[in-house]
Amino acid sequence: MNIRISSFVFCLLLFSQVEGKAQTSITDTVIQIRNVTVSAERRQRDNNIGSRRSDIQSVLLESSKTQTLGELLSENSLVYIKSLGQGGLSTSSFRGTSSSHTQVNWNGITINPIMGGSFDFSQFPNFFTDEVTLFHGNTYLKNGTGAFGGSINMNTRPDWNKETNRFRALLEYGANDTYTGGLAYRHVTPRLLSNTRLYYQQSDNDFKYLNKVLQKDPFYERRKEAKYWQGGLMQELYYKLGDSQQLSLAGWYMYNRNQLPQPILVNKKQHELQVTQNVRLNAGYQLVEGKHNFKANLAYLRDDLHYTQRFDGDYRGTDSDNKSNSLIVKTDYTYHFRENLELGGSLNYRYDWVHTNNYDDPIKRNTVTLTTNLVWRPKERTILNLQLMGEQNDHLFMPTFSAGASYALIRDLLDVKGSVAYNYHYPTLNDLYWVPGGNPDLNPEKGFAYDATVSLNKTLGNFSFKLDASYYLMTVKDWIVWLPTQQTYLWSPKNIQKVFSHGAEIMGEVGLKTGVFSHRVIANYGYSPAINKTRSSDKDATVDKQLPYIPLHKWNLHYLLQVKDFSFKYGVAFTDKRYTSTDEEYSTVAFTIHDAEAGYMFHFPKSRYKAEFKLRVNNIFNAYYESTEFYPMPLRRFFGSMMFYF
Amino acid sequence: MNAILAVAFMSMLFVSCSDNDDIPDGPDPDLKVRAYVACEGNFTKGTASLNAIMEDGTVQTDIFRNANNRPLGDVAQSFSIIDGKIFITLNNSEKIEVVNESDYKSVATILYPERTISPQYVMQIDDHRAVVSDLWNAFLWIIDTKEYKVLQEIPVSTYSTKQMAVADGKLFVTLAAKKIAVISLSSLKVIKELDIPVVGDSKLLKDKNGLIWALACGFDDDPESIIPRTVTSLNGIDPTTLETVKTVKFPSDYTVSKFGARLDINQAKDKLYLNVIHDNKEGIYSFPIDGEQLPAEPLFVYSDKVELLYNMAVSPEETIFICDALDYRQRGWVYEFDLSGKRLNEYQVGIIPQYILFK
Repeated sequence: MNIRISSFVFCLLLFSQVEGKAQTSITDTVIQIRNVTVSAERRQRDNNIGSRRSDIQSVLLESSKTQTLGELLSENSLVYIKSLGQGGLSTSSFRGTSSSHTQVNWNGITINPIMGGSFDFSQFPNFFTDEVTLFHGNTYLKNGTGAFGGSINMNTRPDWNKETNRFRALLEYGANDTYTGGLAYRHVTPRLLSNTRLYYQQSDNDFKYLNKVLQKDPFYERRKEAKYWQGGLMQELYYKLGDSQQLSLAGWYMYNRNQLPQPILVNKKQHELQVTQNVRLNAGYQLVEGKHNFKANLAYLRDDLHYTQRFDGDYRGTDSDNKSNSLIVKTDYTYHFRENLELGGSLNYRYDWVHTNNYDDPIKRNTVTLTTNLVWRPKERTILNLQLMGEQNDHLFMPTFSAGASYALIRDLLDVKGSVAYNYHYPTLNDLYWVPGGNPDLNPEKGFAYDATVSLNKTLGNFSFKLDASYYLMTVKDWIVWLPTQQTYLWSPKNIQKVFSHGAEIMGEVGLKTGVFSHRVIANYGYSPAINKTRSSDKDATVDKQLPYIPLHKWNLHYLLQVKDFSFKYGVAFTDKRYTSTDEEYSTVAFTIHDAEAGYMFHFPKSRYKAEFKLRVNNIFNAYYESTEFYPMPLRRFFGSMMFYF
Repeated sequence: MNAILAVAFMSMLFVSCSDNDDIPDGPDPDLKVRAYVACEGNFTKGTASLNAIMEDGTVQTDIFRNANNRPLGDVAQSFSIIDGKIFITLNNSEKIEVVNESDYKSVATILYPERTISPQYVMQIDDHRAVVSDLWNAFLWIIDTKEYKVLQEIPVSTYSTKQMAVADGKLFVTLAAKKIAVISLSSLKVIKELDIPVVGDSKLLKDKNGLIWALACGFDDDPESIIPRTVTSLNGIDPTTLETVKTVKFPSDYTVSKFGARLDINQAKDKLYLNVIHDNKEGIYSFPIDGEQLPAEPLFVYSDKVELLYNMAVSPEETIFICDALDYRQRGWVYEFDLSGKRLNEYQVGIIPQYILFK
């Protein structure tokens, strides 16, 4: 009863225009409680109609459990990851946008750092996620604003199956004394599910390479001061309140200790260390009952980042201490009027507060977001979607919307879809308050985006084929750029640039089964012009030039072979040259990297216990390459791992 | 079937790995150089460059990279030409690159592995030694200009040494923009410190009479504080007595930029040129060394002609060269003005043009 009353109140708040209907529906209708598998996937798809969604294949995710999300995305998606090396800062560029324009969500909670906005993907071990989904473009608004490029969503999935293995233990040893260990334990009762994960990785990361840039004669050296330690603990609890309701509680602690190496054209004797600790708590309630679908979350995020810089000489070092907190309340409701019509909305509140010695004062920020969403299927082949959002960010109100349509041109074979959205991105707290340079007068970045996708999907016996081809177009006004100022010569952010970004994304997948052989080829190609359209002075040579560190072309290709208990994977990933200056005068060279992995699953006789042994080779052809100029990436590396399932 | 698939797949994999066709053409040795320009490049990005403005008005950009097929380094601060060799200080790379002036081929890289350093300027003190100032240390270091190695250090009282001048057997060096240290070149020890807060990165200059000139103004240490705490002054120091024998104080409404103040002298060594802020306009002023006060009017106002002045120099023809760093993120420009402010020439050089030396 309480749930019904809560739903009713929530409906009143959100949909005054349909008040009568909703009330009638809740109070006068006997709701048939049915056994429903709670599925976030449906909601996400329904709110993202018209734009592209892609999932990292589970087999690729599974084979990268000892790697970070940065490595996974770099090798298997069209998101460009700019990395400072193994264990080093890894930030994203999605559809030609900047790193703060990629929204990162963990089970629906946005976990981008509130100070800088850019998520460091090297600090997210894949061991802590069961699913990685990418929403391309800025159509999907339910997790908030600002995702010009798109969002990357990591979700954990409760597995209530008692028959599957409950205990997993992972050990890996690899090049440059890289040790990895992981434990996962799942406890299942009819109503309670407990999922515990523990992960640790450390690496000396002192690989050898030929330094051709520092001095007159090339010389071999080992990467210095690049060690890292990474560990984390995640505990999830799910409790079923009957068949239609579920409570969840998740706690996640991550610890990262990274030495920060210098670019190789710098003969530095300074020592930089970054220690980050993240605490993420998320309590949820979910109801799927009849025509109602309700979800509420209360989350707390804490990010501690301590940076120290020390010199061997007389020059004093630097200490930077940053503590940021976020309290998030999210509610989301969908009412299914009919099979072909649903109306929903969400009301979210976020309170951020930061203590740092890089701002003059502690900073607080309140954000309230109200979203309504309509999904209508007027014809069997047609789905339409409209989302309206208003966001109050302290004293600034910004409205936005997205609309999408999907049409099955040839049933079960060919779909076409398109979307349009208006989105905006608030300046990060660093943009506003960093000392020196922060500019509290900045306006949000804002712009329209358009998206069209053709999807082809066919299975013929043992042969399956899938193709997604998208074209997108986006303009962003008031793009924030840090520029030097007259007099002080200090960098300060300004709303100066207008950026035009457009491009194409193609994803193809072919599967073939022949006897015991199962072949699969997955390919991704992205074309991403991201062009500055603003001339700031008559000498400005950056107009109509590609933004730095956004490759024009990026593709990757994977071949997967399964023969009974033997598996083989070969991947190749190409990243085009990236300009490093805004006038395209300087650039880094393109690179192509090949990886391979072979595995064998051993089944213990008369038992469900099994063990998987894998050998992985990264950068097979020993290519010297740099994701960020003058930060070398590791050369050929071997890794051997064992995963036990009990 | 499986073998065919595997072969077909593998054949798709071996594609070109990289392209490296972005390095521009090398320098033309037949053309004569009018001036060299060192450009800082962006911090940690390795885009420092040495550029040559030729007498025919063309520019040879990034001549070090073109000649040696590797980047110059990170944050070029300055350079000196000693016995046909160009010594280029790269402060964030913590090294000095030495190249032949004739072909820009690398001769040596001077490192100082025992110390964390930030080389700023190189001042020759005899036929085989030069002194290097250092942003991060409370010492200068002496290099052997023939053997290309560090010889010894000269301790000073505080860290951050910058501009230098040599006169009367003494080395004058600015200390953390607070003082000028005077070092005996025979004993290589500090013999006196002068309480003259040299502003910004303005030079110490010797005039035709042997006086050392310094532009001074006191500022707070806070990098965001740009309000002067003292009046601005030009100070003439007698290198023999080490006394300030001439001080020209500016009116209080004539100030200089904390970081952008620059001072240079003409070839005849009888007229100083500097950039001054007055009435919210930045202009180039000239000051004869026998003058008594700063002229009320500038030669010309440049704030509407230059996006971001990063340095200024006076050519042998007594024209004014101004380095424009634009927005720091793209190649900058060097403009040549006559003394009326007419723009005579403009040269696109590297990112953040920082230091000019005329031939």
